[in-house]
Amino acid sequence: MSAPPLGYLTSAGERAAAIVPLTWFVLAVSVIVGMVVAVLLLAAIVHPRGRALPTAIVAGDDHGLAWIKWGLVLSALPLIVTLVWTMAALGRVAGPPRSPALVLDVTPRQYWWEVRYDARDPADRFVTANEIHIATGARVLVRLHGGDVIHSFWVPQLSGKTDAIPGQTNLTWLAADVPGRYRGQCAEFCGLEHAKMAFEVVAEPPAAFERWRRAQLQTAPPPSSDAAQRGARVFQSHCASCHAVRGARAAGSTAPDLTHLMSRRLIAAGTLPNTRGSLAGWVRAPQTSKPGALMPDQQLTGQQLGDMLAYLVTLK
Amino acid sequence: MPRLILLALTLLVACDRHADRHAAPRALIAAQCAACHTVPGVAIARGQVGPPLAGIARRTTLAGRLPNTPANMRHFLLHPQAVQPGGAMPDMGLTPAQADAIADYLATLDEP
Repeated sequence: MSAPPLGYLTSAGERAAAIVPLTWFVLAVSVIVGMVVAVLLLAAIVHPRGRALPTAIVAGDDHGLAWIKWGLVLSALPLIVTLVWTMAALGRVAGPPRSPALVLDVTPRQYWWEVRYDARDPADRFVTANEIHIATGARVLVRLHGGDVIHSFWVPQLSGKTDAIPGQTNLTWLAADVPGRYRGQCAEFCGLEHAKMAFEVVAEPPAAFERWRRAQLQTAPPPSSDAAQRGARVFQSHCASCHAVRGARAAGSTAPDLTHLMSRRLIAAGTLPNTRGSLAGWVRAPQTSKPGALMPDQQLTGQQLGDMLAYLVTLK
Repeated sequence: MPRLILLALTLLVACDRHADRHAAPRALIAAQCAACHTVPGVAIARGQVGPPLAGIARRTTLAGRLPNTPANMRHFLLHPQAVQPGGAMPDMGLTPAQADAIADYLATLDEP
């Protein structure tokens, strides 16, 4: 059974697994306390004493004092359990792993996520956007680099929230036990399109992850069909100063790297599914799908749009 | 407990799907058409690139050249570039069954 996309009451990795039981416990305690208070309040409303309490009841009457003592004990118990449990959970989730299997440099920007895969060998490094692949069972260190404004990195089923603050590098980490797609979301209001600043973490078995990684290292092949070649020229004149396609004359770095655009399930940071229809509409008029995004509407003729689409679908 | 809640939600969604025979074409329209067209009944379809599709069932002409018949609508959805070469509407790679489902849904949009 799959959880809702941003459901934080189920976990799919060791980090979230340390937090989810605590969340349920605090929720249960809160509900019980709320119900007890409501019942006592109702009882007081239904059976009022009819007169004010004598002011000396606490000081002079041991029976009244006992109520307060028991109230304190009953309140302190769940609070102490919560405190100890929280400290223990923090101890398990806070520190980044000492020897991570994978290191990512993630830079959130208005309104998308740049993802760089680090490696000792520079030939093994690459950059992608909005879709993070990890191997199941691997501990992944995420270095969150502050970009334009404050954002927050959140994948509810895998990890808690960590802010990305301009001028700082914050560390967080991910681990997934179960293969699947987990939605992530910017969790700190960052501007007009904050709500449409999502991404996906794809956890897959190590062999599948390795295949994906090798494919991402490839550069884009030169377009072969006439339409795709015309489209590549349109791309160079309209897109290349912001977007990069490795292997082509396009090296912009202020917008997502599109070298393997068609390998992603969603476009525009989780806003639209990556279909031909959505892609065409997004390229032509991003401001209707995501008003306030930094990509301007492209003044393209139908012919140019068709050619561009023929080129984009070669970026597998 | 979480499983119970999820089960209840899943059943609710399942009931909804059975009740609404247009759920599938609505999902297709959201995936393929929404970025360009405004389509009644599909909340995220508010695109401004192509014409709004409210009242499309009563419009007489498709793509400025074909009579608006069910067969022509299906043909246009499957091969927009053949009907309108160089037009902004791209071939979306729909299957015939998907084109039928979308055409059936559009045929219900008779209020402008």
